Amino acid sequence: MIQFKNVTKKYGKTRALDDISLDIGKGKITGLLGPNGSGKTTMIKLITDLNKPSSGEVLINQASISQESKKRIAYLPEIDHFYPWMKIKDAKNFIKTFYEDWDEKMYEELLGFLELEDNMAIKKISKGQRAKVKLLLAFSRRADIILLDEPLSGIDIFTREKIIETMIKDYREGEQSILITTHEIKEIEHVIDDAIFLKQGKIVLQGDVEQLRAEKNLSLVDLMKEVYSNGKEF
Amino acid sequence: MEKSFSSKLWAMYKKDVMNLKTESIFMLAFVLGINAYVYYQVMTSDSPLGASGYGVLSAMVVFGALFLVFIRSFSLISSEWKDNTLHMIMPLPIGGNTIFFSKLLAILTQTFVIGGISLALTLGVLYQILELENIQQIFNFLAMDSGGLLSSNLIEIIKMAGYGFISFSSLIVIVFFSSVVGRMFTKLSGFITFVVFILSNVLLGQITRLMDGVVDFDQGARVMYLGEPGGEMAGTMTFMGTPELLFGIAFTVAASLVFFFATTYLYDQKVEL
Repeated sequence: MIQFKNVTKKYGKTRALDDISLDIGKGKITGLLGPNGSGKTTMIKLITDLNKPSSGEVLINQASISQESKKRIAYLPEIDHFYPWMKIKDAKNFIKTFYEDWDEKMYEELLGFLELEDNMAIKKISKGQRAKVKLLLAFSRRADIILLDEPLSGIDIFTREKIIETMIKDYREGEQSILITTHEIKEIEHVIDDAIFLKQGKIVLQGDVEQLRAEKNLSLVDLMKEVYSNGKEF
Repeated sequence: MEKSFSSKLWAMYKKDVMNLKTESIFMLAFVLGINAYVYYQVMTSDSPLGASGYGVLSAMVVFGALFLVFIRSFSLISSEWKDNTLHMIMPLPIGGNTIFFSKLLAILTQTFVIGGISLALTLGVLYQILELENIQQIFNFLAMDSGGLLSSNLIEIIKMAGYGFISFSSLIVIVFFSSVVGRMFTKLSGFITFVVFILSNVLLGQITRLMDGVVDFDQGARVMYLGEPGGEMAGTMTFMGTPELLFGIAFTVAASLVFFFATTYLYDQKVEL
């Protein structure tokens, strides 16, 4: 579904991604894992067209990133990206104008589930609530691809649980693809189907999570420690 | 159901108008403040400026307000980067055409609203400080060559205002172009924006000068003398002749289109976060 073909992305002299080739399958939850600066967010930005590859190409269903492919992607950025004057309902009304797959019923359901209110001014609510708003807008669409960039970053444990619950609540297994970048592997270990470990812009390990755990006889957290702290190669 | 272009453009336009709302209120407060000051000074003191001087000051506020709108158009683009709102805009299934057209419409709306209110306030203050009996006299006050500016020069004024509006729109498009070029560089972005803006205007000026030999610009030009009826001449205003006006409009529109599509191409193909 999402293909990276020999993708290199440079920021000045720094190589954020170094000749990455990868195929992310349809209908799975995939974790993009790695420490800061490993290239996780860059991969997400290339899929959303926020960045362009320095070389190579990114394809969605065999086609280059275009307005057509963007219609199928829901994106949750790590940073706050709302306009300061926006209330939750303003953000909703703005976003829903652009997507045919917007599901108003799902929005209403999630709004209650996440304990948010339409009239809340986004600028004035807490960081955890803003994270929920981003999640609300991403999951109120029946998008084929959902990209979540550090959705758990800086969020308290209760909100994290709520976010993970939301992710799996209406997930359409086999149809919908979720790509999630995070440092909080422990929390999402039981949710993801596939894992991709990145280090300095290269893929160091990837595969089916169950299979990786069985083969290496380690949890994902321990696997990550082996890869990043001990520099072990698999 | 496929979302229509008009609904997407409307959503973007509403968003851009909302982005300009707070500062528009500040600009209007500024305009109101200056006009109130002028009115107060004329009515309560023997000011050295005199009524005419304050009238000129009040009229300058209109141009000041429009200048503020123009300056703000630079930051309307750069703030999308600064405030991270580009994360909301760039992943949308729309192209640069929609994004920049909506911004242009929003700025022109702001221009109409602020320019219109400023003009109305200025005329109101002039009306009061000159102790006139009707609005027509404000225009008579400005035109010594005829019985009234409105009656004899209305068509010329409408033509010039239309041309001014097209030129202002063109200037905003060049601001967009310069800002997008500037944003393609991570360092010295603001400086590059400024240089590209100046160079673009110099280029357009040079092309206009080259065309000077092709079109007889002086044909049909008309001079109007300004000043109080029966008094000394305060200045002149030259209205463009029809060939110059038509050439000016055609050239400005063509240049605007070139800059607009260059902007949207760069945004779609080259611009990154």
